[in-house]
Amino acid sequence: MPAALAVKSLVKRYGRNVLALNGVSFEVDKGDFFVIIGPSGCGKSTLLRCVAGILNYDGGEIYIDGRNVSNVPAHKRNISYMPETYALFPHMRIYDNVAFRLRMQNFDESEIKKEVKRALELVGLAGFEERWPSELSGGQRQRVALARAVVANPSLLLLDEPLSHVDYRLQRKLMEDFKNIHKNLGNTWVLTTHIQEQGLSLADTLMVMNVGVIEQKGKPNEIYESPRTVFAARFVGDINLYSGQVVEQKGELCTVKTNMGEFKGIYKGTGEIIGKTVAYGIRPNHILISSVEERRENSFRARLVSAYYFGEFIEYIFERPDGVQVKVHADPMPVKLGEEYAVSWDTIRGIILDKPSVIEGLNIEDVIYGR
Amino acid sequence: MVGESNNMSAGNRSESKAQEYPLISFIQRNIRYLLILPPLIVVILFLVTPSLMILLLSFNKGSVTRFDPTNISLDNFIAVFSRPSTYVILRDTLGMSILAALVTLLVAYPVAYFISFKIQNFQLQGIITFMLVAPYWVDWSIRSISWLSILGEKGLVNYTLMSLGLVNQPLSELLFTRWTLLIIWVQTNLLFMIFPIYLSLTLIDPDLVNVARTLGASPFKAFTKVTFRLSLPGVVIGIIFVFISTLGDYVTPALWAGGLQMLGLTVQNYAWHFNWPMAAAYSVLLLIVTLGVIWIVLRFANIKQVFYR
Ligand SMILES: Nc1ncnc2c1ncn2[C@@H]1O[C@H](COP(=O)(O)OP(=O)(O)OP(=O)(O)O)[C@@H](O)[C@H]1O
Ligand SMILES: [Mg+2]
Repeated sequence: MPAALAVKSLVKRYGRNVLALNGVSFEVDKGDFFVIIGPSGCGKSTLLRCVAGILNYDGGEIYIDGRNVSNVPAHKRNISYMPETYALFPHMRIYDNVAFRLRMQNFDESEIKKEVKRALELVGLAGFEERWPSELSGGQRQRVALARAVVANPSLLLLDEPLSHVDYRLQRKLMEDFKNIHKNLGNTWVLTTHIQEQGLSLADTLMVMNVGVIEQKGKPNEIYESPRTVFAARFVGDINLYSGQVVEQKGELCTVKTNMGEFKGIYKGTGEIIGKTVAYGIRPNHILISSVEERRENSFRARLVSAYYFGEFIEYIFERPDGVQVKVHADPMPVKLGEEYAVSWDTIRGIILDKPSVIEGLNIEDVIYGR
Repeated sequence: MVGESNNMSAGNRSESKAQEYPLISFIQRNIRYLLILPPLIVVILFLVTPSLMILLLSFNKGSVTRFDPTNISLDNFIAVFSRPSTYVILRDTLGMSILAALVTLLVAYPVAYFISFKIQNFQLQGIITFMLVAPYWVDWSIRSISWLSILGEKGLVNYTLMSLGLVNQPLSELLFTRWTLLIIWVQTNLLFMIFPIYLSLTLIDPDLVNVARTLGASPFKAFTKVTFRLSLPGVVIGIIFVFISTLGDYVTPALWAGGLQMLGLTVQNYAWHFNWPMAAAYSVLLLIVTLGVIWIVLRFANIKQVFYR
């Protein structure tokens, strides 16, 4: 079975100076819920537009359902594209907006009626047929745009930041809806976001992008737990990063010598890294705080210097005498600012990364310490 | 509580001040109406009054220059409508105006479309706009004369046609016929069609077209269903501009139309011969025709839908 979408070495330039896509290659399986996550300006929208056929690119190929679409105009690709702005047709009622694709395919009016009703029910907006787009709230517009995109069941849906303009609760609700609608329809969805929580919880497959390139593609938990680069590790969640040299390597288990002592962690890459300067990462929610030193492999003592309230957790910042800080996310605890505590973590939580990014030529220490 | 009592005393103070200076309080209360007064006076003095005078004059039979309140009748209008020539004039005026509007639209739309969508460079857009405006800086009469060298027997058009071998002898219809009038009307109104269309085109979110395309619309369908539809406000305004400037025009027909009678020209003729009541009657007719045409355009375009919220 061919991939629902295959992108090969896609290159896109804007003018002479902006290289928006620098040889991007990836595949999306049929029926996948594929999420592209990356910082603002990394080329997510550009990528979707190229796939949608509304933007010319400078190199590479795009295959949809195994067919090279280089010469296939947008309206013959059997896809749906929903831009960041939703772009509802302001001169059409909701009914006609949703019916647009059906009209273009010359469905007869009774069938159109049925399909529009079904699509609007799917997004929870039955009864809104006669309204104008301007008479809807932002979230409702978003859902109309979604209904318009899914009607007539195109094989590939391209949704650009479909969740960025609504409040947190509606976001959660829409995320659930998206997953349900996707399950019902069974087609392939590709959507973009720059919010890590959305990416991690929505995706069957997650792809992390950096400026014009792909950092990593995989299952969300894979990327969260075993990122391959510092950039990917940072982008899917908070992480403490320290540089050090690898002093011991036994299979995946490595020991890294840092300024604060030796820490053990897991290296998922291949090849010999002994002696190399690497990044040692530990996620704030994997660190334990205790008042007495525990006999664990990875631990040190540090003074609590600040605490930030986040609701679901508290971010405690500890500082060692040498000035190195560590961030811990934990439930509220009876700790005092200024007191010294022991922080520790399990070896399997230690993430060892030997590459700052797939972009070549970056110094790992510069990237870690943001120089 | 403290805040409240403060507010109350402040209110009392300004009230007492207003009582002290009634003029100031009057101005304060009616500032909106007072501000609109000067332009209102100008409009009443120079637009409403003359129009009313023309209306009165059109019902007046007696003196040709002086309004006589004792002599009110429908005679002028009866005279206007009993002349067969009136209907020919009406037909020609309306026909030429409608033709001018349509031809102007056909020429202007592609230009506006090209400027707003095909030229990404802002500077270039500015230069093209400037080039479109530049001819209007030349005085009207000079611009008129220049038509001689373009449409004349040895003018640019005939020269080009002859040297291309498309015609054997110079076309004589180019000057002093209704087609001359059409060409000149189209040229003079082009800008007033291009600009509103250009404006409404630039207001269209390009993603609307993109989305239409990915939803299965061919480029042509996307144009008719989205782009053109959303540019209709500009089209309607442009058409109304052309109607307004052509329906009452008498100078251009007089100079270039080779004796073709138009409504505006008829008014001018009567006024020239000091038959002011008849001139007024034709003026009223012209006004009614113009308003009627605009009304039909707005109705036809279903204004509420065109200017979608
Ligand atoms: N029309 C354009 N002309 C020139 N540069 C552009 C154009 N569109 C995008 N770019 C540039 O290309 C790069 C990628 O843009 P793109 O819109 O794809 O980013 P994005 O990942 O979608 O960002 P965001 O998350 O903010 O939407 C950016 O550096 C942007 O400035
Ligand atoms: Mg974007």
